[in-house]
Amino acid sequence: MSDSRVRPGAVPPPEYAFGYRVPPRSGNEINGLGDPQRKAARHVFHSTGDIRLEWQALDDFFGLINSWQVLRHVIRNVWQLRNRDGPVAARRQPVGDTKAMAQKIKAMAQGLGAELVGITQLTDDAVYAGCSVSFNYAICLGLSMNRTEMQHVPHLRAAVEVMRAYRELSLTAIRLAQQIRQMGWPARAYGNPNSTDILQIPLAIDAGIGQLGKHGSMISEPFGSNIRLAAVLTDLPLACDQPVDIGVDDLCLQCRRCELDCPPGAISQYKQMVRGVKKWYVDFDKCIPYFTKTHGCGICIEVCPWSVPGRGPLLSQKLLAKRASQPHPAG
Amino acid sequence: MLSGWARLRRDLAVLISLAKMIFYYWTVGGRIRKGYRECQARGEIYWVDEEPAETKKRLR
Repeated sequence: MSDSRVRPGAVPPPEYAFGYRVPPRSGNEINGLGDPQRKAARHVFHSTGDIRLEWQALDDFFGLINSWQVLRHVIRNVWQLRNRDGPVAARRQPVGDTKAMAQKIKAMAQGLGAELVGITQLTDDAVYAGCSVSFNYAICLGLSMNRTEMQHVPHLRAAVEVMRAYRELSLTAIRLAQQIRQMGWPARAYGNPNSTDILQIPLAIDAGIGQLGKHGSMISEPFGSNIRLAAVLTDLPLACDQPVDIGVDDLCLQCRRCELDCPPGAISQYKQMVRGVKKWYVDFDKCIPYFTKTHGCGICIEVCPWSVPGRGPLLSQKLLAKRASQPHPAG
Repeated sequence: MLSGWARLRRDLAVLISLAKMIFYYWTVGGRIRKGYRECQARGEIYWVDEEPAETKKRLR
């Protein structure tokens, strides 16, 4: 098998021809870096349009310097998302066996195009501060991106592929929500990368789709981080999945690939305290200017060894076997 | 099902917001992209908070 790892060569340097005259408050501070208190996440970048964020000027700039090829996917996504909500059928289909219903919904989602599906309860941790969501469950969906296009990171080709994947998965979420509403249960599709009210990554991790990687993105077993996420929130009673351990921490604690390949050096070697939880965290103030300059960057997710097609399951197996063979630290 | 009028109202609202987005991208966005390219060529800094989209919108 050929090694299709991405090796970014001549990537643009982290030098910027744009900036703030009056810099906003640090995005790391807004994100709660170093804060031992558990609290809800706040929007920093990528707004839903109804609130003005502290980093809004850079977000506007990012949107306006982006290519029309990217924007046309955004436009098509916004247009299709007009159907994210809708009327619920008057006659409610009773649910006796939540496990069977969960299987049915997963098969439905896969039939509609999702490659990864997991179900979890919606908790306050996955809802942004100031937002309220009245659903009980989240059906998390994942779709892999075209690796050939993504190998061009950081480049417009990759940015276009990212938005295409979002648009395609968004349509899957919209159709799944429509089918659930036809069963007489409320459901709303979330397929907007500007994440709206909910945090897609924590939900997908709770739903057992993957684990958080050093680069702040989720790593799934089959596709690594070369995926995009969407979700359907619903009250349809469903059996939930459990978070998985596929050995991501074992890899990320040893591997420094994304950390060393990140041009602005935004990825740290160790986990950090963020809103009361010790976890992998990416320095917002270093990442976002580079992300803006390169129309969405994506180097970290593509250089990740887990993103090599076909490697994930074997890598997970090896990492877990290695861990099992090591003497227990307490023993 | 949504009534015909409700659907039309909803679709119209989304269409209007999309039309505004496209118009804004090609007008204000065009000026910002041009200004940014000029700054890049001259080795100067384009200040995103000095000439933000909102200010341009107010000036129109």
